[in-house]
Amino acid sequence: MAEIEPSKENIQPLKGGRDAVKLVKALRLQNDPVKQEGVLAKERAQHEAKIHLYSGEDPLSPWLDYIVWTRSSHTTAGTEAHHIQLLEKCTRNFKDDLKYRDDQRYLKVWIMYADAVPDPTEIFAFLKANKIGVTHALLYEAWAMALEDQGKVSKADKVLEYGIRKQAEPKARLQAAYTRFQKRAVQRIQKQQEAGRIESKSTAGPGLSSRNDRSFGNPL
Amino acid sequence: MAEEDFVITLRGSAKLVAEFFGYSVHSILYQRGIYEPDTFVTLKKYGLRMQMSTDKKLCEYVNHVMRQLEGWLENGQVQKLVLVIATNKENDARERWVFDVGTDKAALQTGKVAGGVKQKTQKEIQKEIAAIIRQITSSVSFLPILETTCWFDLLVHTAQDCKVPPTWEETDPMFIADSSQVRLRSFNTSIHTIGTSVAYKMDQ
Amino acid sequence: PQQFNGVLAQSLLHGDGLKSKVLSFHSSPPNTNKTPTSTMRDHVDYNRSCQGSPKKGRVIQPTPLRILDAPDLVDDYYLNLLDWSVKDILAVGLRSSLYLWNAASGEIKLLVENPEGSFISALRWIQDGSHVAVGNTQNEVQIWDVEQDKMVRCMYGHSARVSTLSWNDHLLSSGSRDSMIFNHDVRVAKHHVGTLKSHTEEICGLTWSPEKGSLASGGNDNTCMVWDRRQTSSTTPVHTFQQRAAVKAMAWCPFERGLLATGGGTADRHIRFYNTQNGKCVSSIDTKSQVCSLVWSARNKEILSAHGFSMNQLTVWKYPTMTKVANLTGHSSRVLHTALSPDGTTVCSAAADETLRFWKVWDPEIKKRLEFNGVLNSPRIR
Repeated sequence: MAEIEPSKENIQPLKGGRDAVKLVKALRLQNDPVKQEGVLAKERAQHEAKIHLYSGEDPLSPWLDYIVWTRSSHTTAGTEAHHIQLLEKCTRNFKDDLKYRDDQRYLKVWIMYADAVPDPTEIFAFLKANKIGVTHALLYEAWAMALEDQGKVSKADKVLEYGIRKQAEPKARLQAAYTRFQKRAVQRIQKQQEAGRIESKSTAGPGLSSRNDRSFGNPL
Repeated sequence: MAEEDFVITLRGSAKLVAEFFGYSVHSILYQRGIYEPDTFVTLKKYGLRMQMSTDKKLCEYVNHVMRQLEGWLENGQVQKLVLVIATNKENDARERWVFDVGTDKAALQTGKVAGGVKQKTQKEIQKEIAAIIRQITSSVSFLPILETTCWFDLLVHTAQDCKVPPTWEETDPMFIADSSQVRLRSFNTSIHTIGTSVAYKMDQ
Repeated sequence: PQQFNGVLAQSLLHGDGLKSKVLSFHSSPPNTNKTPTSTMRDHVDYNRSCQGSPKKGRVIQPTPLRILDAPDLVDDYYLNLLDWSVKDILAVGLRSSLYLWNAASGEIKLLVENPEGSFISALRWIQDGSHVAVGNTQNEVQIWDVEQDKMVRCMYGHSARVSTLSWNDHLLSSGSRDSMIFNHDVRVAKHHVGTLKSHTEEICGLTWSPEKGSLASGGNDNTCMVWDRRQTSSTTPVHTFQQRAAVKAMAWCPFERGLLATGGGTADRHIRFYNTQNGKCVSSIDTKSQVCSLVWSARNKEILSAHGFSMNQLTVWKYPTMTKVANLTGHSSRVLHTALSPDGTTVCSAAADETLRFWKVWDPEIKKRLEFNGVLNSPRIR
């Protein structure tokens, strides 16, 4: 904790929490950016080699290790432009692999990816159309949440209902999510009645395309 | 009490530690979102801006536990206080906030600090406590977000010979398998030493 | 103490189940009845869909006027790497380099290039825009003459990186990771004229009030302090405001004397308004995400906040009602710094996505900022 406290504002909270040991390691490296670059490049190369050389039964597993490493070795998402590219590559790589269609680990990678793009709902629609992860409650929960974030409450309601009808597992979890959703909907209506509303349109930023010839002041 | 007159006794130390536990429990419950944030009010304590619940039942519960703890602390019977956060349904523990308690043996006999031991001032103790509470607050930077409704329980680890009052019962320690652990700062009153740590379950 | 540690060690080693009983109180704590704030996202902002929507009224262009590349912008909350001069020059620190961007002509100049391994950690323009003060990770405070392109002073003394700077005529205040604030008189050879020492961790925010009577400082020790100009050296600030996270964002209100706005970090997330004359917190609002920077508009009586972990947005608020005027989104990582153009219309935001974005937020000030700032003549720096 003595090393976490001085840098607490540079640690992006993760939904699933952070491993304290890895966090301290990442923070130490951060104070030495030159060394950090070297260490990270080396570890990244190792992960990429592992994916490349993998010959076992579960080719997704080295990808998952790589993703976990990316998240835990960086204390904020901002420094890791590779992260979104990695998620993109991983999701694309297995999208036609029947073995992973119902694999929750694979679905989780998709959800992380959806979270990182401007409009996550497009990703979820794609998953449904391609029957990826459709047996999991998680898909409908994440999808509905994204819709709710965009203010599309009735669509979110339909997605949750659909998931329940399709008996996505675990059923109890989805049902609980639906109950919470309805509670929030009621609260929101109450709040909206208090304040007038006009939605400011959010603008999507340019994607993280690879910018090679970068220099300060280039118009983007 | 003037600063120079401050002499800590066993009883005073037990009171101070129990009070610290009480404020820590409120802080953790607020920080981890166990109860609605708007049921908490801000007040100043230990030179910090802290959150206290206004829920009558919750305050009664915490106060009761703290009163009991104070007695056990005076007898040197508390080994640790644990605040467990668990999910409502499955009852599985997600987080354990552990306050380890050490008691000076000589002080247990005489009721005061042994001669020759340097007395801490009230200010020094408060400063140490404030540092722990600050760390509890900043733990949001690495702890998982609790997505489902959770409840909490307070578990007291006591000496084996501790008499169990009628309103208390022996219970499961609710350990967390494969947990990640972070040690926070500690403080001591010259009689009691309190070590603080949090163990939590990662979800990747 | 020996004995004592022994007991502690024993309880640490054997506490778990061996020689102990685990007891709990019969009745359980009350049920929570709480609607859990569920989100699949990785941030603390679990409630954003419930936030109030911006109010009808003035429409602010939701897209930036311009986006500039800012490679290697360090993603560190505690630093201060962006400032806009009265002469319309924007200064930005990108790792070891300090660049100047002329907003009128678009001309770019590399002013400072630090040696390998040393980074720019703070920068701030002097009032008349002739010089820029630069702090670095080698614990130095440098002063650069931008017309002559050269360093005119290098001041030592801090024992850790210099994270924040603020000018008050000839007085330059510097805050450091060593938890101290130094006051430098840049006119004299013995520049170090005072030390303000009450913070216990890194200073990340430092700003003199418009009338130059008070200095506000914010630190990783979760406190914001207010010092009087007459206290050149001191260990007791006039006010100490406790918050729940680091305080970096701080801005003095340009139209209400003595009113200070502060923004809290990840565990705090509040914008708070303090009356520094009586030391009272006037009001506060939970923004649901890390606040990294604040900018006032005197003309519109509004305040803009820049946010970190969560939506990486800029929010424009009406003061004092704190109704939302607009949310400006587009940055794909957290917004770390902001700067206001000298005409008071445009906010530049620098984010961890390594871009600078320029947002046209306000109409030009009727009263020029120049006049408001009072003394404009630059001190003679030696």
